[in-house]
Amino acid sequence: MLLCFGLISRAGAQSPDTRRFVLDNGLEVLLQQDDRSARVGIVVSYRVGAGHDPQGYRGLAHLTEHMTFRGSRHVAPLAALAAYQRVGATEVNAYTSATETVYHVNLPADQLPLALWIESDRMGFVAGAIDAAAFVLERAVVLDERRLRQGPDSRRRELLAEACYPEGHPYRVAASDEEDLEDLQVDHVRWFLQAHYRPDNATLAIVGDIDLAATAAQVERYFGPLRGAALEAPRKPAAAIVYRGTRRLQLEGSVSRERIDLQWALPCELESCRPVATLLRELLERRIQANIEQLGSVASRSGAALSTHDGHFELSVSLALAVTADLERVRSRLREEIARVVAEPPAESELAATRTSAIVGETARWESLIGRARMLTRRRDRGNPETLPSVQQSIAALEAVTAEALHEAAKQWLRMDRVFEWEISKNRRVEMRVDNDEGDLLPTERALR
Amino acid sequence: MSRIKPLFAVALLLLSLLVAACGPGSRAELRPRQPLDASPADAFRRQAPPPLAMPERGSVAVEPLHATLDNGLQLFVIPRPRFPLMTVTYVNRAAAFHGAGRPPGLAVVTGDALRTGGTSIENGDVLFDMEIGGQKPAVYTSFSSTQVSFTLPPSALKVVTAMLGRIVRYPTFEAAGVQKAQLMHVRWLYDRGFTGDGYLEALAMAQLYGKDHPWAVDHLEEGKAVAALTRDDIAAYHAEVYRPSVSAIVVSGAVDPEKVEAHVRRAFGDWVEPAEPLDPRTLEFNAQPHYRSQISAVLVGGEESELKVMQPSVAIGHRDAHALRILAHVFGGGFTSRATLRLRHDEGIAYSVRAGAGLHADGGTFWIRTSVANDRVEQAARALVEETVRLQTTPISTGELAAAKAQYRASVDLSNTAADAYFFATAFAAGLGPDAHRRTFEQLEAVTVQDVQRVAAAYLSDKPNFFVLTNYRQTFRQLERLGAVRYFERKRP
Repeated sequence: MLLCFGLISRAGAQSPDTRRFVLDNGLEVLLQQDDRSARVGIVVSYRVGAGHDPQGYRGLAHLTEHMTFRGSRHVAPLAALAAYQRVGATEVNAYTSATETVYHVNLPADQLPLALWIESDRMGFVAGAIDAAAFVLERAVVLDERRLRQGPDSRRRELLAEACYPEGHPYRVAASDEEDLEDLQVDHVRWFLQAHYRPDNATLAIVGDIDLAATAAQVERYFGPLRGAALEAPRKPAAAIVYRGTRRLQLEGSVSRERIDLQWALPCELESCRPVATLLRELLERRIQANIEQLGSVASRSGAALSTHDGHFELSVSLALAVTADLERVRSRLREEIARVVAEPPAESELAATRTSAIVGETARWESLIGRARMLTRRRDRGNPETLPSVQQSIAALEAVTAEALHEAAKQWLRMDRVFEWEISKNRRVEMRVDNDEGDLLPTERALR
Repeated sequence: MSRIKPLFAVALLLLSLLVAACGPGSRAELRPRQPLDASPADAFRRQAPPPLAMPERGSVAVEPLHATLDNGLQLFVIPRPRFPLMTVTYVNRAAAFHGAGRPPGLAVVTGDALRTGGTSIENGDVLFDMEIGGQKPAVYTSFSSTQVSFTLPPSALKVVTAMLGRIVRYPTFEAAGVQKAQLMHVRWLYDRGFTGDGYLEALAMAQLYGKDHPWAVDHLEEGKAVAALTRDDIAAYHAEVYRPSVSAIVVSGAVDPEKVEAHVRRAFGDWVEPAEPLDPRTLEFNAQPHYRSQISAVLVGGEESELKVMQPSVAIGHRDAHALRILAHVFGGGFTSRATLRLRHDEGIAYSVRAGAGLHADGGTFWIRTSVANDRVEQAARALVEETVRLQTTPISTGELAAAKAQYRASVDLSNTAADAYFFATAFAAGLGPDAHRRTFEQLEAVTVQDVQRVAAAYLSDKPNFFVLTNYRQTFRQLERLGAVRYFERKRP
């Protein structure tokens, strides 16, 4: 049974004051005011990630991210973390994806200068402050982190990227090689910092209880004098991914559940196809949970996801199988469900429920200060440079998608001759087997390019 | 032979050089430029020096409007006029994860079956898998309560309260839906039992309180008990435990409190308290017969060992609860906690160390968790014991106390409607009132360095129980140097 009602109250979704500008040194700054709580979320995103580790230096981007917490010229080792902790900061962390390295913190609004001071020192003054003994310890920590993520479940992102993208592609998050990691030296981190941690390769987003003009002046004060080493030109976003065939990858390993994943590259620009892609993801998830999970074939973990790289999307569906499920049968059912989505548009009632669910999810993401700052940094360099997207725009765009538009997108995007499929099956005797060579498993495959 | 050896060595060297130059491991040199930092440091920092420490701003406590209906059901309303979403939560403080004297899993399966088992609506129809605006109710059964929630736009207030009333009061528990709920929980148990932490926790609870304690049922046994539950068991449990006197509704969002109260009265006001009083079935937490200092080592493969320390502590409403939470922040609550500074930053042997106070309505634990390479197990365990002793014998600094309080304060800084509803539903489950948020701030501010040292001495042990998931064929010498070891073969769920 489905009950629907009017969509979100537009009056409830506040219209935020926003500002975008670029400092003379190339740093892009995005500010958004929201005074509903006395806190701010700050995100600094560098357009460099694990996909840019030079050949033979796997793990360098990740180790560099770790080393930036070990002190900079004006901030003693670990002092930034301690200072954040003292003022009640939350969500203090960083991560390295294929194409980005992101630092974020949520703290009381009156402590914003502290974050600007710490993050500007991280951007400008780490290379000259690296301590050799601390470097050896941090490299050991990264090796320990790598050991923690050895199974196929936890290495899923890396394994997918290795299978989808050729060597050298910026979306390829190569698994950090232990030998490479052990060979990394202080100078390699210094080189990486000079090459990539620079104002013209970064975006700073601040969302929360701020005064736009005063914050802009503070940003100029802390970040304005920074200069990049100009070792390399700033990285350009990669071209859109196009799957030109199908590929199937099978893994065997000691996993709790067998699973199936299907993934498509969406051949469109992020901003133009985001609303349709969001609804298609929601629709796929609802169909899987209603029609496959109900059969008892699927464990509680199932769904659909959108992942973004630079300006592009990949849409995936994933199913974790119940212990008693038959993998062949579930695979067949999944394909049937996708064929149904492609064959006919959703009924109006299903579209309405899908849309409301998507709007609630989108609204919740905009409610998080860090989440909103991340969404702003992901949309950099797109659209009108003087305005920033808002939750109202997102909701309006979702409301405008028709059943026909959704159906047309499904037909174009969910093609079974342009799909990456992978399965993990249980085999406790084999630690892990990756079989993606031409052979019996790939009778009709063409490599993805 | 003696002539061949040098020749062989030279050939090997040449081959190595060739491989190094041309093979897959070859790589370009990465040389940084001078100066290492391109920015003008001194001039820059004269312009932008480190900011002065700001005076701490007082925390803003949230105090909901509160009412009690004639039947005993309590209502908490937090008006948030500028928030776009609204959360409505039903909470039952008697339907806890492990009720004493009940079959394990009964509360969880009953909670899930509210969602999956069918709901009778006013015209007599039965609705299955009910959604409101594309959202299914979120059902969460913890050690302290069962909560059923919707997060939706405020325009859905009327329909949400009405349907929540039907879901909670008029479940039909159809056979297929009950089976689905059983299956959901068995699958959760399977997944939880497969994780290292889940397995160690079950083992720890059994060691602390005895294997028959409601908190100690292992995943295999609970799975069997859940599979044996009948529809009648669930319906009887619902009839006994779901009643207004142990229930509350929490609403947060851009709502009119008077309308909320009217809708809640319409949906729940005629709910009659059963004549039979609810058996409180209090949990006992006498750890003495089972709690002894030892190492429990579980055999697994791999290069990494997981370590867990678990000690009994107190219930959420106990006077030491806030000091224990501050102790957890100091011990392993962030990147600059004592254990993280030592194991990660100073010794480089652990990616992560965490400590926490798991405080529930009836009782609690204090736990420490880390993961290290197999050859570092003894080093890590000794470091954790030394840090424990340091906390027991030396007061923490006022700076550490202030930082821990700031972290604790931030962790209860309610920033969205779902956080509001969860906080006050959990407070209700623990027997706390509408002033719970304000009192949390007051009580955490009152904690002193002496309090932290006292609770470290009272609830931590310098000879703790270690639970280790490890390849003990490789680590048994390290383990036996630490103390008496009990070895376990891991049971796969």
